[in-house]
Amino acid sequence: MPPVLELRGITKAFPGVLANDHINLTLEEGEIHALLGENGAGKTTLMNILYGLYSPDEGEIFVRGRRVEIRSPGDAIALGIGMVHQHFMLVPVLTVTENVMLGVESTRNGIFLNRAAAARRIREISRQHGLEVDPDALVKTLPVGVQQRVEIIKLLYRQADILIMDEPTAVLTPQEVEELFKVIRSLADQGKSIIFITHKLKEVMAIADRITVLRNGRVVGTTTPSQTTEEQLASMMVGREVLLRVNKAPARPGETVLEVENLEVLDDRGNPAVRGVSFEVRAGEVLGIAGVQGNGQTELVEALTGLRAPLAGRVRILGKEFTSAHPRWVLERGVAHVPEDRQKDGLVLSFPVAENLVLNTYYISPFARRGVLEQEVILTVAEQRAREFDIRTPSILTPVVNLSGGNQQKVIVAREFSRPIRLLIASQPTRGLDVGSIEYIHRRIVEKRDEGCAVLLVSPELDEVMSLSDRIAVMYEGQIMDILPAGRATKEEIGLLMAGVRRE
Amino acid sequence: MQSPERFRVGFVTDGGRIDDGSFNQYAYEGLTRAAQERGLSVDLIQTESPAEYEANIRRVIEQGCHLVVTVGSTTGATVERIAARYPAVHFVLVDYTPMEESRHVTGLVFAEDEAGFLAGALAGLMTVQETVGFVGGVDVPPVRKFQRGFEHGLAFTNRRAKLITVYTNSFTDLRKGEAAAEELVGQGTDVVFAAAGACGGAAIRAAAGKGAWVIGSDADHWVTTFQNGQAPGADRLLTSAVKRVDRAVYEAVLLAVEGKLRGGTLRFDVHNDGIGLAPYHAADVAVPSEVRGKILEVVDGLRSGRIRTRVGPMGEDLERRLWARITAWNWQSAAVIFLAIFTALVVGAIFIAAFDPKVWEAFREGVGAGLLVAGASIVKAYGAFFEGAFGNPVRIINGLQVYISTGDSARLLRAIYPLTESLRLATPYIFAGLAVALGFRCGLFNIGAEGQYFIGGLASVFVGYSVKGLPWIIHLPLALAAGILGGALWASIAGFLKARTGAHEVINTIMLNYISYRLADYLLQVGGPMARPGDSRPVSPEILPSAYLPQFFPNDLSIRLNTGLILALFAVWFVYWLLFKTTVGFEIRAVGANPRAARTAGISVGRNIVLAMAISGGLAGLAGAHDILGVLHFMPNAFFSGYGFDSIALALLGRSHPVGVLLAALLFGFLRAGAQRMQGVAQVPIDIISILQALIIIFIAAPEIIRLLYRIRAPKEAAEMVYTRGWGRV
Repeated sequence: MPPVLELRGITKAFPGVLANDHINLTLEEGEIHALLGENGAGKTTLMNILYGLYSPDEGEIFVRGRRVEIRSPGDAIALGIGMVHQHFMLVPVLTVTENVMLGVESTRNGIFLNRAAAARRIREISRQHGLEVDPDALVKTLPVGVQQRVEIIKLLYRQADILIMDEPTAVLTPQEVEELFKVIRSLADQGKSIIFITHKLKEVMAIADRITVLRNGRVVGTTTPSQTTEEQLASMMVGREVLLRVNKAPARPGETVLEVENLEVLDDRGNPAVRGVSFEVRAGEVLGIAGVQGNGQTELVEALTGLRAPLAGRVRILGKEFTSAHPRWVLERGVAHVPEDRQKDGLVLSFPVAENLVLNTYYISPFARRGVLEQEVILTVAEQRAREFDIRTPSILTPVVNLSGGNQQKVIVAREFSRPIRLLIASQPTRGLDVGSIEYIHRRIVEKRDEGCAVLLVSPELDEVMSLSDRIAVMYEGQIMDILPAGRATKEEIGLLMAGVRRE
Repeated sequence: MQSPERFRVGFVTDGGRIDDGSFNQYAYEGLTRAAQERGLSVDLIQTESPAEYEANIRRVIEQGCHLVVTVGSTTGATVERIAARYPAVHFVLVDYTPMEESRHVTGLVFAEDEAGFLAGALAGLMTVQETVGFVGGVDVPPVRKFQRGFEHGLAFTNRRAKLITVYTNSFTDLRKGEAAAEELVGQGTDVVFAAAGACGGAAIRAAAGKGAWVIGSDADHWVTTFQNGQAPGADRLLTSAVKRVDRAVYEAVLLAVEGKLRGGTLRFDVHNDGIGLAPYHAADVAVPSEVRGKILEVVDGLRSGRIRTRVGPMGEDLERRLWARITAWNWQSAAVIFLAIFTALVVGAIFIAAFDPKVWEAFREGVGAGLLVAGASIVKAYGAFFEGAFGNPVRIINGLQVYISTGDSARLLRAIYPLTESLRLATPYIFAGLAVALGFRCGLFNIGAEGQYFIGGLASVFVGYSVKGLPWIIHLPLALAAGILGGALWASIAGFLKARTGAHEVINTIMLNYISYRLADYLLQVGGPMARPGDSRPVSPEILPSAYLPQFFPNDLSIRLNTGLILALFAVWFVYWLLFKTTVGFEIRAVGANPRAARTAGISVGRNIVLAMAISGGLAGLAGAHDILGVLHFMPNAFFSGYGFDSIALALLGRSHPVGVLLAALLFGFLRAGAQRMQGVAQVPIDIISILQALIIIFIAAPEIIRLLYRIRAPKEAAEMVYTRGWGRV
């Protein structure tokens, strides 16, 4: 029997990059096939070709042994190929049923929506695959994990039997990941074939039947979890051995740099997001804040950097108190901020590298004199920084939008780390980066700590928090559940705290 | 890395020999020197064929070497792959930038651009025929850096000298090198610089044989190519742009012994004597002392950073002068604009023919006759149009002849009247277009230029007639300032509302437009506060002559072009300077491109919105002041100009760049002036020009139409320009 899906020699070039270079891939019926690779390895490009969003320059696609041309997502769906995108494609104000039937509405008399029929089918599908969901609930009221189930139901409703899941675990808690894996298993058992895109090694080992590793647009190899180890996979991914742990000396904490007392902050909709948080960070130590995304970390960081006025409580930086400060005031006190969303908050994408490197220092000497920019100085310093921080860019005049994610992050790191700083607030500093860049940025953070800088690290990646921090605070629903010394905390313990379960 | 036993260093050649004059030889010499000084033991393997290279590297590692030195220009990636498996061994790669982050692979890189720059500076001083040649091997970064550095160094000492560049696409083919040299000398070059490996050696030997001065690269070619001066033509070797590979390896090895080698790259440049010019050798007598002095100056300049090669790490040109900007400009989008205008004229021609009753009649007699008449009608209309926009070339030439022979300018002035009229019409467009463009740069859609124009006009006319007894040097600037201030304050209301409440500026500026019209109604009505006493029309009093914008040609007052044009050109420069050279402009652009990132970086978004709105309104107010002080000299009630909406088109057409806006405004000026004559001469309704404008804008706003029509492939999209932002707090 031919494989459900076969890609032969798929090649796709973008200006300056060969995103996919003669990729071969087969997917058998009922198989969970993990596609593993760093960001920029070409996974997403390949899947977008398969889903009809890009057309390949070369190569052939066979579905159940038949050669096909996929020119649009419509073609893909007709062939039974469905995709769960990293960012959900749901309409928040509609119900689950309405979202699922959107585009394939069943009607009565050709005019009226037949919601009841759709809801019936949704219930059937949820029962069959263990995808628990209330068809009448509004999508915006559902937790992220359930929204993802809705996405999967959407595909099953359209009778897809090849499911592509693009980084499906990025937004889930460890518990939700467990449930998702159960669902995926059950789908595979019922004959669905699944392509699971990820760069997380542990997930691959836990769920995949087969693993194909991509690097620089090429297939490095295909293997199975029983034949390989995480270390091997990592080195296949990056082409060399990888330090999975951060080497660092024990911290030597000094004076208190940041003091937070009973801080309360509201979110955009006016609901309490940070509810009475107190902690301190001292010079020469890393305080890590662990927690599932959306538990108030974003608002906490915004309050500390002056971007959001707190409702109550006190923040002291080097003994100077502020409740509601202008971001510039905070920056000028020696606080570096690596924002959570580098493209939205950290960079002006249309600006060249050089201008982004002075985004918060453009107005002070030596970059400006009496209100006039010193272009030569800006460019010279930018060239130095690019070299020093190893920013890979065709030129410092290239708009940062054309840089890879890792290099974009290096631009931010170069900007923030080359100012005289006393406190570093880093929010998800390695989000979406490849292993090489992660290692680099971790090393830089530890260097800053060793220089006597206080570091507040906020990250939903438990591994990152555990390997970098000297103390770990766990945040849940706007509160700090506990602060543990990093050396003694176990993953299980922190995982429970992240889920809101306090030790007795 | 240091260990009790003797420190062992492995050296593997990349296929070359340690005595072939390649980098292998120099690297080995540097290593040998370090080994002698520090008592290191060296394991040497000379690779016979490329297939053995990898095994050779492994062999020295397995022999227990702590450090492996090799030339990595072509083999670096292979070594890096091997290095991943031996984290305890350090690797030093000559002429290679490691791709991966690792602490035990060190690349030695050289500032070829600086070496090339020095060679170029010397070539520029030595050339007599002002023609200099460059022979490159394969177009890879080190060669490109030599080439660019050479080019800039040449331009540094000799602006007139011409540079001819040839790439042989080979490092090894001696024949190609010789052919390139012959070709260059044949084209009159008298200095030839080659950066092409063995192929380059052949090139300079051949060029020297033809009597040209030659400059080698990488190593001292006196020693290699010219066999210590024994080979013929050695006396024509000026010098060589040398990469001191021996020195680099020597230093890297010492660092490794001391355990200080940290991975990454070590850069060798003129600062640390890692590159430089070789001795002049036999050419010593031929190089004048002022040339030597100049070269030493250049070396000093490069060392101190006073002189820069303006070459990037990959050999890209960092030339940042206007010309480079222009040549680096997106010519395709320029072509789209040009084709949009052309297509609009073609479509306009169809309209012209269709509007002409004579054409319809002719078609009744037959298709041929119809087409003939249609053609004639189009030619007549566009003839009038171009004459109206630019003037009649024959009359201009005649006028010029009369002026030159008799000094009487009257005829010339009459002949260029249409051109001056176009420029006059373009002047307020420049101001208004700049206003909207500046708003766009801050993410603001100032749709209220019309109202700001109005208020600017009102303010300037008030100062123009009511303030008396001032000399023009004070009165005129005062009236202009009133116009700017009026427009600025009016627009900043909308800016303030946006910054404070998030109310969208599109709605608010439209509302402010209506308020400004009614305000003028009230002020100018008969008997109103600003009405002309005793006049039955709703007009303001005449302004005093001391507030007039001076005419360009005071001896022919029928020419209405005034010095407002100079003011407008100044405004173009000012907006450019403000946006791209000042901290204020940096903030405005940052807020416009990404307000969230701007706020995170400590820039006040609200302040910049108000400020950008005010500057934008000031420019629109200046357009109003120009029309009052330069053209009308009073304010009529029905002062609607249409600038408010045209200015949006101008800003879009000019891609929100001041120079683009200037060109777009000139285009609109020509269209308007041409249309007037077209109506007069060819009876084509003036509205045809509105159709042309609309078509141009549609084609430019939807470039896909033009690309489809002319089969232009879409370019890779650069960062999207944000023109306006949505309702709500930013």
